[in-house]
Amino acid sequence: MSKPTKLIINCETKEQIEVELTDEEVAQLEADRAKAEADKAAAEAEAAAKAEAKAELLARLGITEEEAKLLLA
Amino acid sequence: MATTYEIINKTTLGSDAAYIEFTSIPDTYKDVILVGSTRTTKTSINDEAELKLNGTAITGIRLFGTGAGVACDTIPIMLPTGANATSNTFDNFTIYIPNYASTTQYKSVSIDQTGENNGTTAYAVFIAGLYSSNTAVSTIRLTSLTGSYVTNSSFYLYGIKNS
Repeated sequence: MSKPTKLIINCETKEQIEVELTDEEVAQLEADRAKAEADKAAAEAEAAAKAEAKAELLARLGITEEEAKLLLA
Repeated sequence: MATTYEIINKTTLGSDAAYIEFTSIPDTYKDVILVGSTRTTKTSINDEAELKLNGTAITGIRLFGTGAGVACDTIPIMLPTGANATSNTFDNFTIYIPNYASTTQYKSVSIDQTGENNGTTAYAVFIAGLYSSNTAVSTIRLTSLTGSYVTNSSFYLYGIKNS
């Protein structure tokens, strides 16, 4: 299976070179992708936790989200 | 572009590429701005793309709209149009780096990107980023984090003069 490629654009020489990533670059790319996935999962978990806390608060107050927005307007 | 903008280099992909990188960027301008229009091979409405300056990913805050809502987080990742968006449609983006050649300051980065999709989901992204280094920016890399940028994705790097 061929490796992903990169396009390097040298602003000094104006050369544009398309080459396959080295093994190290492939490993770095995969690490970057894994980190992005982990960050995304963490952000989604945080958003879900906030949504749950908000729903619990609204239930405790006995008001709907629209009524809460009206109060805060 | 106004006459204060000078094209440093540009490219339109003739084949897919996981990432594109501008290197040896001259330090003779006041600011630089990278504009472009992209689409990737990720089988989704959108992909995720990372900006690295001198090989280092920026940090920052992201505000984005999906067409159904708005969210904010601290993940400064762009959302280019993916393969499941309306065919033959590309996003557009602007990455502005003022004082990119400074050797005494960190560099702020301002990104806006708008996806294109003839459907209920389309992304508009705003990122307030930071490159935490006093080193002048000499390389700018954009990486598709899942797929590859497809043929006809374009990238134009401009230098902005002081006058």
